Amino acid sequence: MTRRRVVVTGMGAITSAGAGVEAFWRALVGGESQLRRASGLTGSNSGLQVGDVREPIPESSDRTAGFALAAASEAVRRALLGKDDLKLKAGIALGTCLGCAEGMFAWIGQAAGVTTARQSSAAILPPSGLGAPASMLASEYDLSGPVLTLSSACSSGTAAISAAFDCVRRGEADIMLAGGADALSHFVVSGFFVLGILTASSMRPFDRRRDGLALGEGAGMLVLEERDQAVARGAPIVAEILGSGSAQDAHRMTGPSPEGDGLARAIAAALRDAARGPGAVEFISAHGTATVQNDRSETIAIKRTFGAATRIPINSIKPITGHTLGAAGALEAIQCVQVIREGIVPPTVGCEEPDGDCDLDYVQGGARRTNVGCALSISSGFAGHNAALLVGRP
Amino acid sequence: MRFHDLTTAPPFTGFGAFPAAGRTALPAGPDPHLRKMDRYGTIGLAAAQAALSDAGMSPPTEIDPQWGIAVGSSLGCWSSNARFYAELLKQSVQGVSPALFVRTVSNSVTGDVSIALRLSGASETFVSGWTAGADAVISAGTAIEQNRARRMLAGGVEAPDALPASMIVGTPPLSDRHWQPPAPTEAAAFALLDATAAGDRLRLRAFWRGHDPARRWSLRGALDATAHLTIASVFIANSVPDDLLGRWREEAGGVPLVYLSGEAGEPGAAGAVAALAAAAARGLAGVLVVSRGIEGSVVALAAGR
Repeated sequence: MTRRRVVVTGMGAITSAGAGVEAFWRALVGGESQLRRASGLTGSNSGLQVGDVREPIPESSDRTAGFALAAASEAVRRALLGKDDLKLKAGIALGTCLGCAEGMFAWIGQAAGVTTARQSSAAILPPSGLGAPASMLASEYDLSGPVLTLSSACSSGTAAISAAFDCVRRGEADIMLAGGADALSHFVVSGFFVLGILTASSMRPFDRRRDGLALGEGAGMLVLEERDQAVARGAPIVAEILGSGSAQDAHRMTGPSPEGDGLARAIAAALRDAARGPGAVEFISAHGTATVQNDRSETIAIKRTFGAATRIPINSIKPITGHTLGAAGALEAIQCVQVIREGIVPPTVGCEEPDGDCDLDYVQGGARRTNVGCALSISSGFAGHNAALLVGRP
Repeated sequence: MRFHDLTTAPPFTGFGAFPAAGRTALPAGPDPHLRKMDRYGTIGLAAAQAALSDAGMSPPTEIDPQWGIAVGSSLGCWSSNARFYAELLKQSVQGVSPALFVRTVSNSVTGDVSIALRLSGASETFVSGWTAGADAVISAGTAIEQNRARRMLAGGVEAPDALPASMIVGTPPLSDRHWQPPAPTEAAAFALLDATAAGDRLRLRAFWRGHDPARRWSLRGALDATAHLTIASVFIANSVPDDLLGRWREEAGGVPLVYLSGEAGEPGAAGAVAALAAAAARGLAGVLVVSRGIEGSVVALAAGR
């Protein structure tokens, strides 16, 4: 079995902090929440906080695809790739949870006779549905390799990067665009609202006062490339993907395993895949949704892997960007790369009085300078999916 | 054209499908989880159980990370999405069922099957259109090759009702813009890949996938690249325009070409696994299963004994 080394040569982001990795990173390090009261999302949920994107995005039939295109464009530019470089053995793996919601559901509403033509004027997507943004990007960049769309709810972005990593590692592709994208919509906000997991105040991951999450939107994209090729063409190598793992909870559809079983298995699988021990990990980008269940079970999963007394710095970026669903894992992978490059761990905004069940080092109070050579990004989603990605210094 | 060989070549030890000429019963019973499932989860679980049964296997009795799952779907849970959205627009948000919202994520079927069968290992859900089922088979095969799992259930599930199905009709594909694809049908198909099994079985040997909206992909090239596998037949797992099908028939030369789509409707992501099942049932020495999506992706699975 071929196991080539896979490096990151470009990154792109668009979030409520603005367009570009620099704006995203600046907001993380500054601990500046980009959430604001929802507007345009009608109904009783209109007073909720969201991390909506205010930047103009490339023209597209769908907001999710526009986000993905904006992030991919930056990533390709930073990787110093021309379109000709992408024509041979290059593909894409994109994660999304409920992307394309605007067009798809507006169409459904019109067909069901519950909206008027004017209300559902969003462009009708092709029947490929959730797969449409990846196909659009493949056409935009004239990719001839695999075109994959993964959807495992809130862990979709991490799952997509893992799938792309596998494609490059085994030689199926030399370059993969990889990441995640999701857009806010009435459908998505209402769904999380009825689940009762949206915060009524502000996001406080791992804090004893935590009461839920705020939603966000955006995209994160990375260029993954076979290492020797990247070196040969003088590409700016910013990190190496060391390993990945996934596991099902096999427990419940909405809540995580109380003992963090599935997440612990996913982390163990990623470490095994990377041939690293727990001692190699020097920073953990947590899922950190600020729900009572998630933060407790995530803490247990980390303790089971790294020991109850572990002092690995851990953070959650979601109080800054909101929970961006399918984009979250990709943005958190970008954070891991930046932490390794800059030697700074951004704070967990809102975590001021950690819960008794959450007794790890959540980087409170402000960004922290620390040398990190290996970072772990972890994600969990509805239906019990867990994913872990290990990123290292190149 | 270069296929990617799987050095471990995991064998297919069982296949299951829904519908399957009355042989596959829908899961039922007092388990509260079963009662909460939508059609997407129900037919997916029926096909997964049938695959295990066909393999003579029982699901694991306790957590075993060596059992994983990979699923593909193009339209999967859109029926639940449509119901949720219609409810949302008809009444205030407080009147909408949270249980229904959980059904609107594409990996709900993966969760349903993993909970019911206690599959706790590696997991992926692909929504790459009609080729998503073939992607799931590749994911399962490579998970075994990379020692992430020893047994993987891989399948495709489509549960459209009239509403999502009507979305297809009249909507031009991203590629082949002058072609009207047939309406999607309800279908689920699963295969069990078991690295621990021995014997003369059909095995996943190699695969190729790529984006080909300009239709440059050559069946002749694929047959040449897999000549060492003694391909006895080519199965076309999804609907393709007549002119493309005609070209592929010519390129197949003397190798019989089986076109599964047509009268039964478009099986979407379930097509690739259904084709592998058909090849296994015929006892073929080697088979090439070609899945093509309306957005122009092509996935070819080469299986041999």
